[in-house]
Amino acid sequence: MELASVQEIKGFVVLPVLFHAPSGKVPKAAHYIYIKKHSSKDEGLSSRSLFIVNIPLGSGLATLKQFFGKHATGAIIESFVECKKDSSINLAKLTSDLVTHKQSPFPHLPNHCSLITFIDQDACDLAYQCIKKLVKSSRCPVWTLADPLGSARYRKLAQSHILDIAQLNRSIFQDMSEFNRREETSY
Amino acid sequence: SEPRQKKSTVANLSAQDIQIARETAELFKSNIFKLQIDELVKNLKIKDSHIKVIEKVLHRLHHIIQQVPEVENLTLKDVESYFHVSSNKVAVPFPDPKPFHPNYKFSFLQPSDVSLIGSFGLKTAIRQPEGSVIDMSITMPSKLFHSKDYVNYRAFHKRAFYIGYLADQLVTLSQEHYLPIKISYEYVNGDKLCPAIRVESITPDQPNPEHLVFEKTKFSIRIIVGFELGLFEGKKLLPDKNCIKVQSPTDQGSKMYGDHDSIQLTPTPLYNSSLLSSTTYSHYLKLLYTAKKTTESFRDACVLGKLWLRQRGFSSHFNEGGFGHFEFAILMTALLQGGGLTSNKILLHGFSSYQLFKGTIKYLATQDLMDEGYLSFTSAIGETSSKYKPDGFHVPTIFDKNTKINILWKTTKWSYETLRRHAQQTLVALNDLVYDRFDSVFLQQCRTPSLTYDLTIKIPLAELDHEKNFGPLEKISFISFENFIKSKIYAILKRGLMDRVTDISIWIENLITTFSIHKRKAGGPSEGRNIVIGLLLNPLECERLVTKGPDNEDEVNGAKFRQFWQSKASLRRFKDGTIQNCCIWASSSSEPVVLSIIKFLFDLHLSSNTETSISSHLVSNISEFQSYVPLPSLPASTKQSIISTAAFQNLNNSFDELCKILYSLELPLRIKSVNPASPSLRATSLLQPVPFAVSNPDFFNEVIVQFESSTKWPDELISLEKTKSSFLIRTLEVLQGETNYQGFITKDESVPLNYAVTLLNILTPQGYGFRIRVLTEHDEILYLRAIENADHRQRPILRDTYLRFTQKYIGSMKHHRTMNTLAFHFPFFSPTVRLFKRWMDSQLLSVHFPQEFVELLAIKVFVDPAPYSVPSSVESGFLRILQFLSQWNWKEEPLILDLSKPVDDSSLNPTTENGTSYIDKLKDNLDVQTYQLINTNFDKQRKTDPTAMKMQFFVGSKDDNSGILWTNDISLPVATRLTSLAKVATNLVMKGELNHKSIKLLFTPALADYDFVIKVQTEDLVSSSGIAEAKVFANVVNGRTSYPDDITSKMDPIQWYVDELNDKFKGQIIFSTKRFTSLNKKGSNVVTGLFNPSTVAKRKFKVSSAYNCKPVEETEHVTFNKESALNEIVALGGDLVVEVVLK
Repeated sequence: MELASVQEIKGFVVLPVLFHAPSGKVPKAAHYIYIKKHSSKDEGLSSRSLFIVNIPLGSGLATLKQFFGKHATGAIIESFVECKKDSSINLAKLTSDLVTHKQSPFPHLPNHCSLITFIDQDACDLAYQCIKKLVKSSRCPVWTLADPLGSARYRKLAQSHILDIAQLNRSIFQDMSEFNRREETSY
Repeated sequence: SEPRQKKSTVANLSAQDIQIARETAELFKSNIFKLQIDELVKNLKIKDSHIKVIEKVLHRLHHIIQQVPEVENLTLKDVESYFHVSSNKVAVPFPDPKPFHPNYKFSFLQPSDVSLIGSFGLKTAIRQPEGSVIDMSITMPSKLFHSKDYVNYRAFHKRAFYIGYLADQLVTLSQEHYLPIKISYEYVNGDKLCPAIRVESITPDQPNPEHLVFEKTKFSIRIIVGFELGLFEGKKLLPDKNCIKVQSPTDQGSKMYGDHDSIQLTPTPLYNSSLLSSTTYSHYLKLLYTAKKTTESFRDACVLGKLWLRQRGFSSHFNEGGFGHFEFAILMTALLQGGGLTSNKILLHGFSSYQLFKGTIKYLATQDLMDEGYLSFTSAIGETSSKYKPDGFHVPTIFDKNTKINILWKTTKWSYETLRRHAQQTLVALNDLVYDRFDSVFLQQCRTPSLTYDLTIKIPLAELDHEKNFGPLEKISFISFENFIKSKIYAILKRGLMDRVTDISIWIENLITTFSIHKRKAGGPSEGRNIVIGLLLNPLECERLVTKGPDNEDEVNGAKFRQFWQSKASLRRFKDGTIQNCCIWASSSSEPVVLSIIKFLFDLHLSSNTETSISSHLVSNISEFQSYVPLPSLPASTKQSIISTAAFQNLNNSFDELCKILYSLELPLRIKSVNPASPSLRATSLLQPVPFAVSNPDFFNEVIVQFESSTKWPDELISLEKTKSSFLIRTLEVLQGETNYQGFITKDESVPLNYAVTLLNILTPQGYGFRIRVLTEHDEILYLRAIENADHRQRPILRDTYLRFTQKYIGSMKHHRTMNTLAFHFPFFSPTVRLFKRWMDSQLLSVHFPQEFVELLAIKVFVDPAPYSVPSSVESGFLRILQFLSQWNWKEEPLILDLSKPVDDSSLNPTTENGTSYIDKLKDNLDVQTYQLINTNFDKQRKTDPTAMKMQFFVGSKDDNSGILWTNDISLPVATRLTSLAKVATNLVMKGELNHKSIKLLFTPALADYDFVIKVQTEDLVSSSGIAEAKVFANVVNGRTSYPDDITSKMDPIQWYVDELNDKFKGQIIFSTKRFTSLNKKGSNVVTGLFNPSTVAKRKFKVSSAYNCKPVEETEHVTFNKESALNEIVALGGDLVVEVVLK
């Protein structure tokens, strides 16, 4: 298997990884992840997040924790969000003048991008440096999918569509009080 | 081009203008049609170069005939020895029974006349792909006959010798005169009494420049030998006269029937007509020629008639209805003379070809020439006497008083009924104010049996006992066994099936038309030849379980009834207290009731003894097709008719219960309406609903609920959605608190960007699932407002969001209402659409098309069946959908559907077309303006997308003028695949190659066409989907009686897998799968992938680049990483993936 020798592209570090999973059903191949330090208006988030393009399908928090746990011990991950298609369009804002800051629950990221936020800036720097080292060493680390796959993944996905009534009620209550407050202040 | 011209004509006229035009002179239709007809007639013209060649051939042939030496007064023995010594080994084509010690002699004298007849003679011949035949008539001189030669085949035998001798001489002389030809015998229009010589061109082994070869013209010449006009007394050859003496079947001894009329003798109409017709070849040519001279458009109208008949499989041939170009032209001639009740003229000499054609079609459609009356005319040139006379002869009749011939002597009762039905349908089409019916009237052929008929049955001729019932009397009445058996089968079917059928057609498959000149007659082994029965069924009656007979008191008819039905006949007391003779049938999921009845009757009346049953030899594909409509795992489901909707009814009952409860709930706002929008609730879902069958992908039935109107709904979309959620939660709480209904709330992602939508899922105590979404009067306004407020970059995305909202909330409701009405109106729509959905699914297509679109495709053949009639079997319905798809050029043509409830057939009868009630009934139909508006929308759409890259199928109706509601999300490769698969299937049908094996192939996906195939497997979902397993005994039903603890545990993970893949790899790979894993064995399924060829192209790296790209060496470019994508796909599938096959 041949690896691309490109190590950086438009400011992104190019990290090749090898899948652990397919077990001989298809020929093995390298997958390329493009990583960059996140820059955002939200400074708190910006300094401790990595912006990732092309993360392998099926990679969730567990997979990332395992990967960074192995290759950047100490870089503790706080959260991981994947982009949602066209998430920059805010239907609430487009249908009411009263909405100024209401956001969709998804970050404004282009398609196929994701954001890993570490516990602090040090952790983020550590992770980034380790990745750079990996790239320079021309090693192709194995990417082990630690999140549920196959039937377990889809069962979980189906289950996640069923909403917890109490939680839903809380979120509705919160949103509606906010809406009512805005309406009242607008008069 | 013509169609464009036509469209602009329509655009400039209002409906009223059109109505006026129609009422005055039908100018509008004539003008549209004129352009199309002119074009058509031009296209059908025979090439001049071919005519030149063929004229040369005819001259040479004429010359050769003149060289034939005369012979006179040969005895039968002389004849035998002449042919015995001739090296050409020609046989005399004597008809049965061949002469035996005749007391007359055989001669050949030069013909008294040689002329061209038929369409070539009349110059109405049209170009035909299979080649055309030129009829040359040769008249035997009258001095070869005696006045009594009309009896006992004498004239026919003399002619047979004349033909045999001529054939023998032609073989020799054609070689001498450099006309290389192949000579064979042929029965003129299948009439076994009338052999002719067929001359075809061949290329000689040793060519010579003198040789006249005409193979390329595809013409052949038929030499028909006739008698002189008036040779025999017409009166003695009337259809009711006997001209063949025969021994009495009861007394084989010395007693003979006399020759005098006083004794009731079996009439020999076919014999008589055949003989008389042979005297009239040039006479009728002269008559038609005169009509052509006096009526300018006569020729063109003949061409139209000929084409119309040919597309419907009609010709003058016995086996093709006995009504062809000749009969059509004679009818037109008679109608130019009169034809009305008071001899009033039906057609005028100044009519255009369209008007002549339509007038003739209208006459055929509206005047009964069989039972109620007949047309009487005269062929005497210069006389005009043509009148419709009441009281018919119970056989189709156009009687020529001059020659004493019934022009329709070859037309059987059943073919006449079929002809009338075609004429009636065509008349409706010609009167259509909205659609252009030119294609269905002239261009579409409707003679492929499995497309034309609801039920096609074949019986091998070899299995029918030739001896039984085909005695001497039958022989003289019917002349051939084929004529006899067809007539017998018709009589059995007509009596046994009554109003279960609307049309019966019977013909012989692969009939041998020509035979070798070395043989006396055609035929030989009947192996491999079938008698075919095509039936059109009456959808409302065909599956009825009772055949009612006469009352118990009616002894005479009761006895007849019991005689006909024998063991099946029984007496029953009906609800109204009457006691009636009747037969009771059993319905079955595998076989229509009509087929069971036919099997019973054929065994009873056609089998020669009890050991051999005809029914075991009947071949029909209907059961094969019905077996692909899945059965529910409910008690006795195999004993239910294919049109039974019992399982759907149970679901509907549960829905009604739920509605009652919902309406009565105490909520802050009351529920105003509960609208179903679910395939199972309109009987169109592939699987029938079965209680607790939660693995059925259609288990949850969508329902759209509207609350009473309120001003309090938030004026902001996401908050509005949240408010709806809170109503749903409240509804659930009340339901769970006060009833035994269960439920849960799910999030819904069907409207992109609106992440706040939630649905209430309800599980009823009866075992059914409903999924409620809420629509308010504010939704639409807010979506539109969002588009308005958006910037230009966001707008297309928001338009898509709006379209999806319209689909899910408004379109689906309208669609449901319309389809539900139509499904109720057309009993065969439900099983047909389900079979079509099965086909779509087995071809891995159903995941790509919304069910609404699939249903619209299926309803097309029901609401707009031309040139066929409304399908009344799953076979005809399904195959016609495929045929429509195979022909639909969606790049250039919109599909515009009239989805109003059709008016019942009786009021569509053209006889009432001028009545106000007819117009009133049509007022809900699609009008010209709407039709035109939809057309304009299509033109606009194509202007922005001329290659159909973005949107392929345009389906407009009153419900959706935009035409794109259900089709905007389909991709070009998928659309093309649907069309090409339909083409493959239709080819198979057209070739008549349907059988068990090929039908199985229709439902097998062509996996080799994909770039990769992933074999996947999940748990067996058959029983949890409510599907009856094939090998389970009918009385063992392993259905569930409760819901599983976790409903998601029984969902098919493969569908989620494919959804995710299609979402992630959109634009790069198209993934397909069967939506119904449960229809496969043991939870197996496939996921196929097709790479978009453009993805491999290099492109600049961007963060928003499509998914999974790899860097290209030393550049800032990337390309699609196919290999890694495959790794990801397989990894994601985890335990579901069994095997991967790469192309």
